[in-house]
Amino acid sequence: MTDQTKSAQPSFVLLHMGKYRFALASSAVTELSPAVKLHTFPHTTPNIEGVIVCRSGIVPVYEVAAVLTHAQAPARRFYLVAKRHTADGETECAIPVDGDCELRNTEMAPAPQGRAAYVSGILSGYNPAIDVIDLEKLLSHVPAEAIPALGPENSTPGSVDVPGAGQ
Amino acid sequence: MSLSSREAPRTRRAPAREGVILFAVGNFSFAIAAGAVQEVRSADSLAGSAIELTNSGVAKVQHFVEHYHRTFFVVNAAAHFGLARTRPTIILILRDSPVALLADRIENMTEISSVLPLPRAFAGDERQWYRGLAYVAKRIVPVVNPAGFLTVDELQRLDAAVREASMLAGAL
Repeated sequence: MTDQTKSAQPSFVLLHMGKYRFALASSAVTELSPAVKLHTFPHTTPNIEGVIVCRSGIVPVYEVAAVLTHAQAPARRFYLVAKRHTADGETECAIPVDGDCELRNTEMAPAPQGRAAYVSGILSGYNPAIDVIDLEKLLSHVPAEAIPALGPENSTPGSVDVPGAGQ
Repeated sequence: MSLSSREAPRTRRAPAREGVILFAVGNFSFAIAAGAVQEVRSADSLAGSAIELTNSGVAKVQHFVEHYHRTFFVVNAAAHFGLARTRPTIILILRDSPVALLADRIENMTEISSVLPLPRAFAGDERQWYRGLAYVAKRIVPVVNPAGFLTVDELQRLDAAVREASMLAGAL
């Protein structure tokens, strides 16, 4: 294969999440941010852990590891910042990954039957084949109960204090 | 070119800064515009004058106080933000809202240069709770919306509950 052929192939960012590898179309990826501080505050939107500050500003962090790997997010965290196309326009989101990301030019094969709806194809040149993730479908697929929003999780309706009760 | 324009001082417009009060509820910090707060008091100082509201249907409000000839609904901040029960020690009496906010403690007063919009991905109640986010001492804290503690519907229910409580008090 010539270099020209290679460069014509679509490119993917291969990312590690625990012992699994996934791929995202490189066109969707904005940056790989180092393990910056995750800022959290109460909210009621499911699946968002908090926000990070990266080059492009304040970016919400989605917890997707529970769906992709059925495990908690990687301990050695980096954040892969990617573009989302929503009804309100283009926005950015971050997902926690292990640090080892690679950029590869390769062909994507159709996803075999039985793969999750958020898998748009596979990179078959690897063993095992790597799932290519459709980020939009993944973020809309994450069940609300996977990562409850920070707000209602600890809600204790009815247990309201009287002024001065803390004294 | 006129002399005046040539000699006009090259001043850079300083960014508008806003004074905020940082307060804590549980493990979280929040900012509120200092101008939106009329008074900060010890929760104890109002405990004696707090009147219980029963059956208001607004769980985060169980009392109201009459203060400076105005009625303030005592909103428990932990309940409002859906956090675990805390031990509030201070009360922030808001200026333009009939809200007295029970919080754990005041952290400090400071200035922020801007309120950054909440990312669009946040689509829940927080859009009503917060004006946006601010950088404060290397942290990002939400800047609360003083008008976001009670909805119009909640205010109507609370007003009705206050009238009921007042009638009961008058009948005794």
